[in-house]
Amino acid sequence: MDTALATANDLLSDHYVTLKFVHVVFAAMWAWSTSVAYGNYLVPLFRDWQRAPHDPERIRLRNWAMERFDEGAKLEHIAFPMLLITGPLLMLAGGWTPDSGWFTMKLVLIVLVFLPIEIADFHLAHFGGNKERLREAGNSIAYEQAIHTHWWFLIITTPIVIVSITFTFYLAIVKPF
Amino acid sequence: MSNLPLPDAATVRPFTFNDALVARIGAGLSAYMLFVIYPAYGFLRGWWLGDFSSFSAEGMLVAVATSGAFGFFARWIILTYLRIDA
Repeated sequence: MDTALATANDLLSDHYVTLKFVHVVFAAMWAWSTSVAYGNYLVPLFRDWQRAPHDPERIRLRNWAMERFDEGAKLEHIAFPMLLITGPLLMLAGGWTPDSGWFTMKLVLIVLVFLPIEIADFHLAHFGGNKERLREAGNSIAYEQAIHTHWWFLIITTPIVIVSITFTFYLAIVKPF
Repeated sequence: MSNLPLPDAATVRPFTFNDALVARIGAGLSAYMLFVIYPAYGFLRGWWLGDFSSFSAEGMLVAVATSGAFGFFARWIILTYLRIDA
């Protein structure tokens, strides 16, 4: 294993800074691309709908916001696979191993926090939970269920995302331990 | 705005929650941090370096304090988003 890691390091180490540049660009895109839409459109419209859940205009706006959010998440969901490609390359180029505590913690967060969240997010926004597709299929019961499930998902992941993304940037930049 | 999805009043239902459910979610997130993330970190370091010092008394204290604080933080954030003034 040590030989394989050393060979990969030899091949990639000259490109370390370039890989880092690409990784950081996609990390920024992944981390923040939905934050304005979420905080300034989705949350206010959902909270407004919750005040009068049977008001047609509020339902209409809620649905519109959620369908646009599914669409808007594309940027984040292009960036995440790019991070999964450039991250391991950066690891090999930099010779990073679990010798470094910050690296181990980052690895654990990616595998046990970000990966499950993103798999669920891909499903909710683009596959079985895509609201536009459910609406076009005329499945209004599944549509309403998908809206509720997605809202729960977003609400529950909000504190996770606030802490873990900030902490991951801190680990990568400060390398505190 | 003319392409807004039409509401289906028959199937739309209010979003319901209760504080006990949110407390369980907060506790679950806290437990995930304490019983999954922290051991994963400790065992990965132990496997790679043979160093299991992450599981020292100090390490465990930090893990319990951090996961506990996160559980309360998560509960607070989730309730902030869910509670609606009349």
